[in-house]
Amino acid sequence: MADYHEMWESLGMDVKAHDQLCAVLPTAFGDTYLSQENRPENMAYYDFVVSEIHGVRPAELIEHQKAGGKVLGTFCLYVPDEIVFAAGGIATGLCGGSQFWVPDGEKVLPKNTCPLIKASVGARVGRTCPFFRIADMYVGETTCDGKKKAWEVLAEDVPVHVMDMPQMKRPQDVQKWIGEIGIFRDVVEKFTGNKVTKENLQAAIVLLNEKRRALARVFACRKADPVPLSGKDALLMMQIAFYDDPGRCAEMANKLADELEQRIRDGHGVFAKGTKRILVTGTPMAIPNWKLHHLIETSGAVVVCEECCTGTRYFENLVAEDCQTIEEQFSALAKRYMKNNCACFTPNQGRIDDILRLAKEYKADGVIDVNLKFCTLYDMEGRDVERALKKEGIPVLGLETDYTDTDAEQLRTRIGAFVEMLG
Amino acid sequence: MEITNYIGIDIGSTAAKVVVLGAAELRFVLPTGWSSPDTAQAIRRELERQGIVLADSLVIATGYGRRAVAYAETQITEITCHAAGCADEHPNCTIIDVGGQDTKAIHLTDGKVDDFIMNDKCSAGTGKFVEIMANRLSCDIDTLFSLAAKGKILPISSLCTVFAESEIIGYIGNGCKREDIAAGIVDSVSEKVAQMAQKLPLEHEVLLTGGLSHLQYFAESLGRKLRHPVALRANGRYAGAYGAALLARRRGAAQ
Amino acid sequence: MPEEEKDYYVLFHNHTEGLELYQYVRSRGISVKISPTPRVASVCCGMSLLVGADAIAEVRQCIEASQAAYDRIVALPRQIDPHRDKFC
Repeated sequence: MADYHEMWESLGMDVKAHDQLCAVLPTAFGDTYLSQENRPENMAYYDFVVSEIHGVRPAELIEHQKAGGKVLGTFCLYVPDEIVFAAGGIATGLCGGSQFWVPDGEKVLPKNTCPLIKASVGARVGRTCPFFRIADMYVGETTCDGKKKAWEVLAEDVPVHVMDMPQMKRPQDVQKWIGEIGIFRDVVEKFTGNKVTKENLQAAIVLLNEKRRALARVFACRKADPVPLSGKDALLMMQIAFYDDPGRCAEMANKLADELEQRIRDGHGVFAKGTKRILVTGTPMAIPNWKLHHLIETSGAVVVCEECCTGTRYFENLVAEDCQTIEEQFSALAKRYMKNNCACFTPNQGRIDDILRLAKEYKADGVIDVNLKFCTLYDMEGRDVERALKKEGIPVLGLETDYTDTDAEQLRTRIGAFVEMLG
Repeated sequence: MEITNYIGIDIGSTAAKVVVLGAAELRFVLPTGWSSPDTAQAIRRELERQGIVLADSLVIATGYGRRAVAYAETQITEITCHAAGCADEHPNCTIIDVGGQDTKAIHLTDGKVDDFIMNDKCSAGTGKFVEIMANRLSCDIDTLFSLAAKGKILPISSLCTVFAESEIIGYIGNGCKREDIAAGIVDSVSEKVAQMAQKLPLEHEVLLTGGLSHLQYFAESLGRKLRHPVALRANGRYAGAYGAALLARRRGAAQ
Repeated sequence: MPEEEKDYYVLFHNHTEGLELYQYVRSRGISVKISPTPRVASVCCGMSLLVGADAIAEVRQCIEASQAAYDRIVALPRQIDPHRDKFC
C-alpha cells in the first residue's frame, strides 16, 4: 500500500486530522465517479490522480524544491502562471472544495464567508492539505472582499503576494494590469532567483497555451449528441488541470480528446442521444466538489459545459505567441487575462454574452446558474443572467448551495423538476 | 395486460396522499410517520383492502418520500405533479403549494411548467411553522386559522421559526389574546410565502394547493400580501397525488 | 454474501505496481477500474484496482501470468452507491 504518512509528517501536517479526509474520499469518489458506466478509457489517468491525490503530485513538488525550485500557490484565474513557469517555478492551484476544511476556516473567518474561502483558509490553518504546506508563497488577488481579508489571515503564516485587480475593463484598467504583472514579475524573480526573459517567457506562454488548447479540444467534444463524456468527468479533468504539471495536463487532455473524437465518429455516448443538456454557470467548483454535477447527472440530465472558473474561463482565449519584445509579451498577457469575465467586474456584459454564446454552442436545453452561499457578486449577477436567458427563451434554474450534504434532497427535487420541465 | 387503475401516491413530510383513477375512483390520506418505506407499505395494504390489485395498476410516486415507493413505475417530482393536478382546469396560473417542509410556487403557461421557485432550507413559510405555532397555542391547524379570522394581527418580526416561537411565548406571557396571536402567526406565514411567490409573474389566477389549501382565511391573507386574489384549489391537498395519477394514466395510454 | 453484491480490490505496495497491473489487465480487454483504496480495506491511502465479481478470476490469471507484484486482494460488499449523497 502506498504510504505517504512520513512525507505528510515532514510537511508539518496534522496527519491524524488529515486521515479523516483520506477515510471519506474513497467512498465519495466511488459513489460519484466509479458508479458511472461506459467512461472513456483515458479517464483512468484522472482516477489515478485522485487515488493518489495527496501523494504523487506533492512528492513531485517536493522533488522540485529539493532541486532548488520554488512552488507558488494561486487561487484565481487572473494570476498569470506564465511568469512563475518562466522563472523556473511551479504554480499550483490551492482552492479548497471540501466541507472537511470549512470548520477550521470558521475558526478564523466569519461563518457568512463563502465556503471556498473558508475551506481554503481552513486547509492552511488546520494543516490538513499537503499542497497548502508545500507552497513557498501564496499569490492572492483582490477579486472579492472575502479573499482580500483572507490574505491577511494567511499572511500571518506564509509569505503572500497580492495582485491588485482592476474592477472595470477600460483601457486604463488593462494598463494597470500590465503594471501589476510587472510587479509580480519582480517578486517572482527575487523569490526564485531567476530572471524572466523574453525566451523563457515565450516558452511558458506556449506551454500554457498548449494546455488551454488541449482542454478546449475536450470541451469541443461535449458539443456532440450523444455526448461522449460526462460532465462529472470533464469537471474532474478541469479540477486536476489546476495543479497538474502543465505539459502532462495537455498530453493527457489530448489523449482524452483523441478518444472522444473517435467516440463521436462512432456515435458512441455516455448518455443516450437526446438526454437533456445542461449548461452550468456561476461560481467555481474546486476539487473535490462534485455535488451539483452528480445530482444533475443522476436526475436524468447531463452537464455539457461549465461557464465558470473550473470551466471555459480557464482555457478560453490564448496569449498571443508572436510578440517581438518582452513589453509586447506583458501586454499580451494582460490582454488575455483581462478577457476573463468574472462577476467581480462592473459592468460585466461580457459574461452574459459568454453564457448566451455557450448555451447555443453546446446546444443546452437549459441552464443551471449556481451560487456558492455568501458569494454576493455572483448572487447579484444571477438576476441579470436569468433575465438574459429568459429573454432568449432558454430555461434557467438558479440554485444556491455550499459544500454540505444536507440540502442534497431539496436540490434533487429542484433539479428533477427542472429536468421534467425541459420535457 | 389491461391496466385497470392509475394510482398517484404523494408522500409528503407530514401526510401521504393517494388518488386512484380508473375502475376504482377513490382517494385517502395517511400520516407519513417516521418511515417512508413503512408508509409505502401501509398505503399498499390500504389499497389492497379497498380491492385494488397492484399488479393491474400503474403507480407514480411523488413527494419527498417518492423513492420509498418500491412498487411505483416511476418517480416524478411534486412540482411537476402539482402542476399536472391543476393544469386540466387551470392551464394558465401560478400555483402556491404550502407543504410540510417545502413551499413552492409554480408558474404554468398553456398547461406546462415554465418556471418555479422553492423555499430554501428554512421552515418559516411552511406548514411546519404553522404546526409548531398551533402546538404552542394548544390547538390544531384549522382552529388556529379560525381563531386568526377573529383576531387583530400582532406583529411577529422574526423570520426564524425558533425565534418566532419565542416572540409568541412573550405574547402569551403578556396575556395577549389567543385570536390576535393566531392572526400574527398567519400574517407571518403569508408574508414569507408571498415574498417567495412574488418572484414569479402573477398575471393569471393564483391557486393554493397543499395542506393549507382548504383554509379560506389563509387565501385571503396571502391575497392581501400578494395584492392579487388567491383561490383555493378544490381538493388542493390531493393536487400532487391527483397529478401523479393523471400522469400515470397518460403514461399508460402512451404504452 | 451473494456473489453479485461483492467487489474485489487489488491492493499494492506502491502505485508503480498498481499501474503495471492495470496496463496488463486492460491490454487483455478485462474491465477493471483504478480506485482509491477503501478505508475498510486498508488504512493507507493510494490506488487500488476495483474488480467486479465477474472479472476477478481473469485478473487472478493475469497476476499469475505476468508475475505481477501486489499486496493482497480484498473482497468487500459493494462499496458504491450513487444515491448515498454523501460528498466530501
